[in-house]
Amino acid sequence: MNTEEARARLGQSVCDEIDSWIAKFPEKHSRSASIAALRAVQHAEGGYLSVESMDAVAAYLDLEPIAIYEIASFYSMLETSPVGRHSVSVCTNISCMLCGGEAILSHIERKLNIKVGESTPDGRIFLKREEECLAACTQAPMMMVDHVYYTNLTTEKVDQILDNLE
Amino acid sequence: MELNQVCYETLRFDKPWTLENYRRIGGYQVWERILREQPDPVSIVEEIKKSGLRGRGGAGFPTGVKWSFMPKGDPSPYKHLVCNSDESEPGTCKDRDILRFNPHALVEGMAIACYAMRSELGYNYLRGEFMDEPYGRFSQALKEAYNEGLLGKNIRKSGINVDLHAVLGAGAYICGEETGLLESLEGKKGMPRFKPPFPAQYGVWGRPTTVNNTETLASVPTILRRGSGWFMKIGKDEKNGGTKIFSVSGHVSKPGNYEVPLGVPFAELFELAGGMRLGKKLKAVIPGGSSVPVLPAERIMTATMDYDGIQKAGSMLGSGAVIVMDEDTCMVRVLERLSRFYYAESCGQCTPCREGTGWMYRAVSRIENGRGHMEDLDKLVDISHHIEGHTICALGDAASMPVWSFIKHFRDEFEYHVRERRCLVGPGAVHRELAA
Amino acid sequence: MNDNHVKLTIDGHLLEAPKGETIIQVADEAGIYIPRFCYHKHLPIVANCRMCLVEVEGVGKPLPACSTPITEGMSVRTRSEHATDAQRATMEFLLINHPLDCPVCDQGGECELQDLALGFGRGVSRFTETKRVVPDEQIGPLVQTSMTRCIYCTRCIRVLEEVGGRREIGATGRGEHMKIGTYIEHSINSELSGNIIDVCPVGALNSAPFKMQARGWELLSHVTVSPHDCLGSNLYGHSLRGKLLRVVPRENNSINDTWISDRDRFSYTGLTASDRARVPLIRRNGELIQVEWEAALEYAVGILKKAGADLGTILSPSTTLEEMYLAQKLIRRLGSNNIDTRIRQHDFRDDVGDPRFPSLGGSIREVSNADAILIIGSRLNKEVPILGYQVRKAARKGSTVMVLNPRRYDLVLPISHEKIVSPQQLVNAVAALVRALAREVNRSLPDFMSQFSLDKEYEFTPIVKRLAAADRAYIILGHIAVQHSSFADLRRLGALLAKLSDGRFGVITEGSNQAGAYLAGAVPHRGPGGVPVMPGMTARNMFEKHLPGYFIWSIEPEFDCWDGPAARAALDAGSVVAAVSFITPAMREYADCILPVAAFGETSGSYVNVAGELQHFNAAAIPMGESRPGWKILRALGAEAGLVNEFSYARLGEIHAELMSSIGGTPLAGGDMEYSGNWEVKPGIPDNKNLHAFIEVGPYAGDPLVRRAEPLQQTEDAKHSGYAWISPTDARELNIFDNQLVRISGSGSNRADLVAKLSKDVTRGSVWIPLGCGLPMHGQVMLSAIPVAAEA
Repeated sequence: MNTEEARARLGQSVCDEIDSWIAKFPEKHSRSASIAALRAVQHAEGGYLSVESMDAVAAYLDLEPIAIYEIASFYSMLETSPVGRHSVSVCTNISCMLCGGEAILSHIERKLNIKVGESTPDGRIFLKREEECLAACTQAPMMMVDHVYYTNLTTEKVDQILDNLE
Repeated sequence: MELNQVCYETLRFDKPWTLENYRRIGGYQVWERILREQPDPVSIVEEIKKSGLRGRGGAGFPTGVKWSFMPKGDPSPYKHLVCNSDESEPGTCKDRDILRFNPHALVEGMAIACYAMRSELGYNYLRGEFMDEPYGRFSQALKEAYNEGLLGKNIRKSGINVDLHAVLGAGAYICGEETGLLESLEGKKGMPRFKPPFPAQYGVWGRPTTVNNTETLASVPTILRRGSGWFMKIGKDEKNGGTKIFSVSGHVSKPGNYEVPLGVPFAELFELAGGMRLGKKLKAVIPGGSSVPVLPAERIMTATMDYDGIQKAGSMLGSGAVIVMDEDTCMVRVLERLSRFYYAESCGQCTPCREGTGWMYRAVSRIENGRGHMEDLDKLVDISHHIEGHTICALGDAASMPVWSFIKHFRDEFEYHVRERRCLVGPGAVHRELAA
Repeated sequence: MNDNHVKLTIDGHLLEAPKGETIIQVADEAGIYIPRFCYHKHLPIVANCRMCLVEVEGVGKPLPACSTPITEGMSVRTRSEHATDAQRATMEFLLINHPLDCPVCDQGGECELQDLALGFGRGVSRFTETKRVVPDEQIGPLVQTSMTRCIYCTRCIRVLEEVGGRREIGATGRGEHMKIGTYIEHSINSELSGNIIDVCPVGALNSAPFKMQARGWELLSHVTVSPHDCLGSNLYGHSLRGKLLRVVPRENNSINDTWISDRDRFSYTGLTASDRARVPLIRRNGELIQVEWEAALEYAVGILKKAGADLGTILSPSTTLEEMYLAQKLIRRLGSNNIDTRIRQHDFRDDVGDPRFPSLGGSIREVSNADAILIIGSRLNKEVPILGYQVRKAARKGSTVMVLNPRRYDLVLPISHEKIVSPQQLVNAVAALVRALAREVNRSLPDFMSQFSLDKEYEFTPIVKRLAAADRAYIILGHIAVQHSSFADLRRLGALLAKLSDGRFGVITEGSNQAGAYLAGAVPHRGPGGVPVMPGMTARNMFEKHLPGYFIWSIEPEFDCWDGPAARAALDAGSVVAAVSFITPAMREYADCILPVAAFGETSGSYVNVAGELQHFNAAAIPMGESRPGWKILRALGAEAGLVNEFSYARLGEIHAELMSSIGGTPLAGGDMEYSGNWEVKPGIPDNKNLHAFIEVGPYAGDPLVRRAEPLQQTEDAKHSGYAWISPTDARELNIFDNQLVRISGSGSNRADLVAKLSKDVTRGSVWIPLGCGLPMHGQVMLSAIPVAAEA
């Protein structure tokens, strides 16, 4: 794939966003925009990165595809297989665990009838396995839904948040 | 005890993050004075050295000394300041609140640090999960600072150039390690680099770079505004100068971020956080983020909250994340979760960490699930000692310290699990009956 | 003490070493062994395996010897309790997830992990969890993967990136779930891919053709040299019971470091091809029949003698120096001066101006130290893979690499400036570059320059500026230039470019011993020692003339000669003695006597490489069937011809000594690439509507042995060569579609039916076709689609 084909594959708005990230970095260091580029593509393409879109990012940034595969498979916020529309991450790391984060997660598993790491069959919700602490420990338990933090959770609050997702 | 004197000073206002409110506490005065008077950058570095400010990210390295490692010479866009806002040490959430509630302090601190190190280009690397509110607030603050003519090229016709950018990670604990962060900033996997060379010689894109924590940099404007002596004296002594934000979480009544003078007795901090919730008894505290050794109640209750005080008690001040556990907490269960975390977050390059974190997690998990053996305990301690100090970065150490410290201080609980194939503690937040 | 040195002690030995070195480098130099997996002296340091942890006095934790720089007064202990405790721990971590399948692992016996486990491992594992299993990937016909055995040292990733020039594999995922591989399954296409087998310290990456063939300790190792390109990469041939089973690199830091091309590594697989010549054959009553050697020799000498002065002798440019010498001695004694090894060259106008022997014009190290390199007419990485690596090395050190090619190739090099012109216009373009450079450096041009066309403008500014500014410029002409019908002009212009940029000039010659051919007297205008003699016919002339007798040596003219169809016609007309290792179907038709010659690895001898280095090698295997080493065949032919005294060599060494006395010692290195003489230039062919076909010699098509190496023939590179490559614009005008069967018709009855592939890399007016398709290397052609009905 050449740059022009990549541009066509990625679409103008994604390319514009990638360009705005490239502009933050010194000349000849557009590789620095690769993580942001993948995030932009993931947002634009239904929450995950297809091989084709990763190849397009590689071509756009003039990198070997493997360099992009490495990043996509390394960072936990980048998905390389299809997932539900809304990404839900429940923190179960130490502070949240001490404050009932696991009960929140179990509640969601029961409510959505899926296991952590799975998406609902209707493609509405992806219950991501979150290994990291999400840094809202003093407001535990918490979860992140499509980048937004919800803190001091109760099962009622969780129900309300999830029910409002389209 | 006076709270929130430095990084959280704007918290007394209704909308603490605005430029207007930051100005009300004297914000940007220092930066504007620098732009006007253009002092010798070395004098700023010296002032920071005198303040006793140490890296607030976890390692506690004296900030002024770190700054002095950067090559001298003319200001240049080819050396860099990088702020580490990849806050991801379990239990730690102080930087997120700086980004949300006082982003201008960080902008000003970064600008000053750039000037002091003669860098014209700085980056703030935020963890990807901070994309919404923290990144939004910090980006807004940057925009306001540019609009006010506080950043950019030839700022206020001073001849000084400082450009700052915010960038985002995408979910990897290892990017909190400074060279892992630099790799990530270059658009690569966050695999830490071996040292030497150190970032001050060979940093991002091979250029001299200094990486400082968010809290460290956000402290700089206040230190320079109120004087290094003032800052140092708030704290305990010159090695433990100033204030520190402690993220107190877990089984306390009032969890929260408390910015207090270094050297405050743990008991006082504990009281600020409302003591134990539900009238339970204190069992253990991890005083500096999940990567430092755990301390049993009796050890922590007599400690003071500063670098030396915590070290004397047998742990480390780390990132200032104080994780409080009550009497019903199963220590095996907690260690299992922590071990799983390090296992999941090991970048995989160094053999001991890649192989050892999985080994430790599986062994602890077996014990937790009633399939442990007595010899597992010594074996775990031995494995942890052979990871610690044997890897490129400190993740190996971080994965090890919980293991040997939990077994050291709560061995009876681990033995009980092995012997009885069930949990020692009574009903509680993490209690589970174990299947034989 | 030198200011740039520091003193330190390692295990009590007081050592002195240059600043900037790391502990492991100093220890290796001093012969102190420190265990390691990820460290490799020719690869970037990553310090990830943690096997080389050592104790440094005053430092609390053990430090990796590979990445820790030495400092004045440093005291290192590699075997202290502290150090060995750390090393043992690393070994334990490496072994917990490593399978216990050594008995069925091809690496067994030569496994770095196995070796170190003996020294540092525990007898009994403390690991009671389930071992990790990693799925394998298919990465092509050359490398067999068993990824569960991988210890993640990343040497393979670094080899492909640093040596091969491209990140074809990586480490995806993280932590324990990290995987080494291509992520999306596809083959690794580097021409240097086999090196990942050597650097892999375990059995994760093994040679696919060698799979389950033998154990390392059963093999005998023999010194040998590459027969496939002019660099002469140093090799070891590993044999078992007289059979060559494996080829691996032999370190030579002035040629190939520790790397070799896939061609050199896997070509041996062709040795056992079913069409190997195993017995002497002569033609009787129109049939080739098997005879005893004596009868065959007598028969052969009869043909050679009968042709006498009109005999044409054409040798492979990869023939050994000793064989070349004997062959020319024999035929010159029989009265013929018609001998040549330049089988894919067409333009011999400048023979009179030749240097002593064609060469790179400098050492290989001078190429890798050049600060500006201009490659003209070359698919460098596929023609001479290791030279491609050396240029890559230069680029890594900051050299500007520039290309002027008649077709765009991915050379896997960081190309700063690239100019693509049509092959027809290549000469004029180079002439224009010469003119522009002369203007830039303000020097006058020789008279002949006025003969080149000026009617086309070329933009060469960046190349010109760089060549003018360079301190160590290097101009390299590749195989495409050598095969070009205006090679003489290209060569003179190339030399001029080097002169104008005060740099060096070199030609990438074909085969492994073209330089040797000049020194052995196996070219028509040179006698032994490279001294000028009354010129005989060139290879081209010999086939154009239709001589009464031919003596061909280790070539398959329909593939190996510039004009295959013409060669075939000439051989059909004359009597032919073919001394070969393989018999093509065509050969069965035209050869009157076939003498089976020992192939690569089965004979001893020497080559002179393109840098003028004389290299000897030994037989690693027993010649197949009744085939004999070439020098013995030539010795017997000499005796049979009645030249008993002159061919009474007892040993190979005597032949060599006789030749060397005329060469005058061995210091040949460098080579002088001055051109003298004058001849009329041949301007380029105008870019008009006419279509010209050019043969592309694929990387695995160049000589009889590689053409029979099955694993190489299954590579993407080999498959890529089999088509007719045409520009999309021409295709549109000719109404040709991708993958369509087309007929390419040349002069006379020459024609080839091929599958068309459209590529923007091809210039308008040219079509690139494979070797052996029935057309000469260059000629005007007509191209038309073959209707589907006609296919049936």
